[in-house]
Amino acid sequence: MNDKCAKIEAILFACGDPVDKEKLADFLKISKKEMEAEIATLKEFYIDNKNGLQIVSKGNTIQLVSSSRFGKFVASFLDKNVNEPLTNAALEVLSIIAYRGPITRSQVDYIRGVNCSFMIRNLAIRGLIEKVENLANTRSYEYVVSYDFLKSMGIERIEQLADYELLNKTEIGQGMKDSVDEISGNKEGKNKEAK
Amino acid sequence: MYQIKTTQFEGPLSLLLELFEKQKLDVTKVSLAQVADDYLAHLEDGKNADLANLSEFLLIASSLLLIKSKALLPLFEFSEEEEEEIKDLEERLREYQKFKQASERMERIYKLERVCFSKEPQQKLTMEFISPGVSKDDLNRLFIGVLKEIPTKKELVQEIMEEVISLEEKMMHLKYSIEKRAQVAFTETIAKAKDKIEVIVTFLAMLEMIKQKTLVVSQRELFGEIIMQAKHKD
Repeated sequence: MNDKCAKIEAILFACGDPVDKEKLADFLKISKKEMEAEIATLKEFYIDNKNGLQIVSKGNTIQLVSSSRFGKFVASFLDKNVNEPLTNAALEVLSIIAYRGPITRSQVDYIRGVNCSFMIRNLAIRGLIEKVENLANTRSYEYVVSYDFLKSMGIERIEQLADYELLNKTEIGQGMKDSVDEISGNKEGKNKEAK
Repeated sequence: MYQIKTTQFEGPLSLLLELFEKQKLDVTKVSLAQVADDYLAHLEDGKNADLANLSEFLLIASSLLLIKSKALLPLFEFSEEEEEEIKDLEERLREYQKFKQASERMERIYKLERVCFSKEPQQKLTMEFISPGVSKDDLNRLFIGVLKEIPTKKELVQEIMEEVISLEEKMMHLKYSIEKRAQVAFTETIAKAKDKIEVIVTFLAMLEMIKQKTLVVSQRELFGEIIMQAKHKD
């Protein structure tokens, strides 16, 4: 392992929590591209050496975690219950958010044909999904899966989910999004008039 | 009243999909007409007639009826809007089906419990050394200040009781004096008295002995010398 790689590893270990890649690159005085290369080297190193660690990434952050190979093993040492059963409905909502996130609640409702607010709240309480600001419409939230979701599934990044490319592509959801925006746009217009 | 329902579908899409899967049908306009009856039968059953989702079920039911009527009446033509609605339903079903399958796959992985653990977050409360702007003397002064703030228990002033000669002792004294000598003047007994109290006690002792009839006194004139004598028993 090269020096930069080892430094990244040291910082990730010391932080424990997810670390912003840009911040880390600035600190190491390397470019974003170099940073990605170093992370890739570190990941390869862990795999090649059958290491007990791995890197999970989400958005612009990365986190050092224990290897998914030892999921049950570590859980039994920690005496922790992991991956408590989820209902089919919860799993459906979770998969929609995983493949299509960031996604609004109404879009999830539309795909499943039922109101999912209860399920969404449940999943949020269990820490598997989280709210993010909706850039298109600041009065509503969008949902994405959390780091805990990635760690529960033992995947390095969301794109590792089976058929991610295929399912991520929005077909009717896109139309839905537009219509939602139109509606909210109208509402905004009306609100402005009211003011 | 709550009843346990064996097959309750959360929404119309999951019910429709189940019907398709049972009959091993693909989602097409033709197959939608085929499952319409089963769908309506389920609704009549009341199993899925939860108030919250009833409107969703009914909305889809109306679309299914429309498709069915087209199948029965070849001359009947859908309007553009209806055509759109049916296409939309097909798409939604296919979309939902994809996610249902994806969720099943996801469940299998989830159940493997290939969980990654991260280091527990550091404790937020950490011990910190306060800047060296505080000196030893400051601490001393502050601590004394704190001590002053603490209410102290007020000690009761202890009155030092002077030891004075007791009445009994004086009586013993007098008795000894009058037994030794025939007559004793009162002034003699108080000649060595340390203070007024001793004089008083001596006087009281004398009175007490008079009362007990162990002693008699005589005084010739007012404020004159008091002469004490033992009273001998007859």
